[in-house]
Amino acid sequence: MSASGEARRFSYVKLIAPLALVLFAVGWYQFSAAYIPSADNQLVASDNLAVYVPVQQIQGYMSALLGATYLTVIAGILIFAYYLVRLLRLRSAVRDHRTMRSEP
Amino acid sequence: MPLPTMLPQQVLPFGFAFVYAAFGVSGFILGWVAQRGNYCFVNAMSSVFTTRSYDRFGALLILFGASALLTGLLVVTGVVPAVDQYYDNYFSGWYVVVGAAIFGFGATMAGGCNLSMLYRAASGYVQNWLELAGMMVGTYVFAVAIWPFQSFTMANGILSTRLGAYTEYLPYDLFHSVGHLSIGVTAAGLGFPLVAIGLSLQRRTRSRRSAHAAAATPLTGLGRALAAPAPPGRVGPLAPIGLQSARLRLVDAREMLLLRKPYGANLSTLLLAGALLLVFVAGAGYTFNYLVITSSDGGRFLEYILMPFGVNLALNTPWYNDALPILDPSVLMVVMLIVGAFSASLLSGDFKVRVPHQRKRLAVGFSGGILVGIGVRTALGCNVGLMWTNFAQLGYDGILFLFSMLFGVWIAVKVQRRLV
Repeated sequence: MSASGEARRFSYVKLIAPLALVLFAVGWYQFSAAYIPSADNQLVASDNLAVYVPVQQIQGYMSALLGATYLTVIAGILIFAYYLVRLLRLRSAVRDHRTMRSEP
Repeated sequence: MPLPTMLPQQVLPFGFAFVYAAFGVSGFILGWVAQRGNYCFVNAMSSVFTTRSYDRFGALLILFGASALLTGLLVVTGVVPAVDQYYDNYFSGWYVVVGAAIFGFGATMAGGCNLSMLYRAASGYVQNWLELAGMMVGTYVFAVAIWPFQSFTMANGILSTRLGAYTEYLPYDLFHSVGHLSIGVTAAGLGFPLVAIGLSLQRRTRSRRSAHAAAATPLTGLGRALAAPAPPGRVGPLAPIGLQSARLRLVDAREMLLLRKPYGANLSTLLLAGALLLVFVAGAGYTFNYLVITSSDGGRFLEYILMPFGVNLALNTPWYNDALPILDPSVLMVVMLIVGAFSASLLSGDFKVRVPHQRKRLAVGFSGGILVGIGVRTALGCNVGLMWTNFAQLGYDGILFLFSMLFGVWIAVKVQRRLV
């Protein structure tokens, strides 16, 4: 397929999706840090130990989640960068092609 | 005779951060592999009734058998103590049978089991987004309308066992022992026949398919025709899924690594069994050391969604306040499953937001999701967290669940035919 055809077919979802992944990862971490420990504390305050989770577990979750968030964010940015470079290369190829055709 | 111990023992001394990380890695593998292999329990079962294809159903049986054999092997060789295999065995009773049938029906109507619902949702299938939302609603309906009655029957032993754990452990039920010999014999007795039946069903389907293809188009490339991937996101007739072989050709392996070719059903099965073993060892002595997926998390995510609005369901809503810990490793597993499936679909070029042409499919997806939520909670688990897991636990609930779910799927296939 020609460069212009490929450029036309390039889906911008490929650029948006990795950013959505990064936002999801960061948002989930922020949510977990803000709400889960406090909800757990509410359970202790109301003497409901049936579904209470010990603090070590919450800490373990937050540590593992932090690592997973870093990895996901890095992966998301790399994928975004890869598709961005691809798009820019395609556009540049299309521009070169047009310039060559317009030259006498 | 002394009763078996009920004190779980840790296998790896690395603490909860490691356990959560292992569940996260396992979730990522599940999401990635299920997306690349289009692995769906409901598709596997419905294709038995629609196209009489046993290829994927055979793969499921191989998965169950291999899981029983491998976890049994780890226990027999002393890597994992027996108590960590039976400690979390559930109660058994009417609810497993009823819940699995409701789940099978709902999941077939909605277009995905608990595993495929998640990876398809992450691949952009809007119908599965609605199924997930319906499942949250269904879990809430179960919690307020069914759980009080169900927990009463469980507490009083009405059509229900009352202990769980080793009393639901087949080696103990058969030999009154949790020794290595009884566990080994039970694992072999359960696992080998399942693997053999699975392989035999697959061989039968493939030989029939080969005969049909040879008769119809003898000169076209049969191998290529059979290797065509199944279209994702469908319930019903499946395209042939490929010539599975224990020895992968290098070129196939390269194509799969480059995400140009989907994984075969049996390769996916092996990788999924590996993910199960990872959490079986890592979680031993810490938590429920099997795969859980969304059966609990359908409820937990609703709980989480409501938290920013100041609502904590765990304080006063039935089931949420006595049966659902506010957090466990399955949360990270599910989150990473979504990340894994999303990454696989994005990198392979499969990702696309897909709205069904028939808008009524959205309503069917949502209402099917409600039934899925009610079914999995009534059964105390889903196709992964109960059925598959229970084969690995050497219990018998998985067998009950399998037959009841098949019944539910069969009814749904009949209903779908009427509707179409």
